[in-house]
Amino acid sequence: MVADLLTQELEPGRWGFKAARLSEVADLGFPVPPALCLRADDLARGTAEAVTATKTWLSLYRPRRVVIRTSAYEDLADNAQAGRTVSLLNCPPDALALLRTIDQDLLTTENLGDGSGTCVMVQEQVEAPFYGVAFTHERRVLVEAAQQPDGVTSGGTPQIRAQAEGARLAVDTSGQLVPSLVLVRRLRRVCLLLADHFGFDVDVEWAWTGATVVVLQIRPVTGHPLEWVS
Amino acid sequence: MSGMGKSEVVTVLENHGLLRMPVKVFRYPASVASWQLQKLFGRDTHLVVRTGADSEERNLPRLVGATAETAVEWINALPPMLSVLVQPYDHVLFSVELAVYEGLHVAEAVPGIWELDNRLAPLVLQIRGDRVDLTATDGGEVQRARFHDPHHGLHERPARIDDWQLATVLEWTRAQHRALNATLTDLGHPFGLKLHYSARFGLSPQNLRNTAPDIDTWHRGDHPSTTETTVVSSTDAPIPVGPTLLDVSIAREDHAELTAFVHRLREAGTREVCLRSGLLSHLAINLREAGITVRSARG
Repeated sequence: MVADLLTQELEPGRWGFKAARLSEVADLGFPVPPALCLRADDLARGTAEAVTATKTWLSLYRPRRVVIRTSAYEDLADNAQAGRTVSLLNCPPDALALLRTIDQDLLTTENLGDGSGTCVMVQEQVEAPFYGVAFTHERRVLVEAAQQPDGVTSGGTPQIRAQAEGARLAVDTSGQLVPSLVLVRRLRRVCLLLADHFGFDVDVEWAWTGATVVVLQIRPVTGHPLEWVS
Repeated sequence: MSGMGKSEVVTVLENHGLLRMPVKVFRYPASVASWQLQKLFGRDTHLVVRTGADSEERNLPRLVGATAETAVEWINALPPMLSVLVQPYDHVLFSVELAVYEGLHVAEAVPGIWELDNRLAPLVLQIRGDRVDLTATDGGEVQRARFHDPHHGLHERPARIDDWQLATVLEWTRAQHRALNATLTDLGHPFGLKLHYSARFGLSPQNLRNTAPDIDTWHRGDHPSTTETTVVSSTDAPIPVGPTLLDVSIAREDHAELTAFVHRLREAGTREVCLRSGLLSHLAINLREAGITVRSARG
């Protein structure tokens, strides 16, 4: 079974929480990169139809680069598994090569369990000047940003650290000029709206295109960063 | 009040390459003719005329957006102890107060013209080499800032400081790093610069202040919002005992009212106040000069 993330709301029990929440975010009207969702148990039985579907999807959305993500047993309220599931960046938009990679590297029990209720997402890789993570807690928003797609999530030193609390924004940057005010204002709005919608403090992975915040992933905050304590 | 007069400030700025727009200083002029101004600035150029004394005075008379004929008439009626500084008029888009320390530059920026009675909460930029700390306050509504143009005179409209203004301040500060440090060395102590941004001249220093807040002011943190604080919103209000937030506005023409208010604060034993407006604002400068510690209150 194949699904276009942007055009239907996906059930977490069939597609995993990552894909399901992103489809919900897209349905709310927030920008989400287009993605083709391929169910893992179908892929385990054969990839021929998935290749055809992926070719069609690639010719439709024409991404310059693609990221492959698993949507499995993760993003739960008490166990995010953040960084422990697979994301393959910078993949060329070649259906055969993508499915070969999925088949060889991703369809493992470690990544997808027995395959039921999980999927693999073939998603457009957003080209953006900034990428990062934002956490909410009690209407406050903490932001970290870097120039590489996985700059913050991989544990690199953020170029921007910011907090928005009530009317106050505090931003700490280093290096080159950064449009930090507009970025943090937009992120605050997006994150608080998503927290309200989902009913939990959110951990949002995002990309900033210079005009808008694109939501790459959303999961519950399972442990609050030290900044909230201090 | 000690420090440099405005004409001496122009010399210091010029010597360090910090003067961006042409400024003509007339020291204690007996008479100025309109042809002199037209020759210097062009026949149809609108002008700003500021006045300066021998020391660092604030709130001296000035004339904004005048023709050469009007300017001359105004100049020639001034008291003889004042010098006159004439410069081209341009529409001020935002204002900056910059405090310069060894290894730290702090800029407070507000949209439009920043004057004594301005209650805008400024955006604060702390620059330490490559590192920049920024603090902004976003209220529910965009603040009303004051602008001037020759057609409408002084007027207010909603405006705020955004990323391009910040980037402009940051780039200017970095570009002028050597000049600012040389001025710091020459003066021998931290100092303040008042800057205006206009479309024609960019950021241009308008004045130099011999005093800057103690550098610890920027490390001390904001006044905790949880502390029980009495808000004083008028210069006639009783002076409270304990933590005080000043939310007052005094026009530059009413400097005597400010002096009386600061005197009352001192008489009441006020040692520290919080301001929503800038730590580099005119109000803050006057309070510090009266020995009152000024802290930032936000939110």
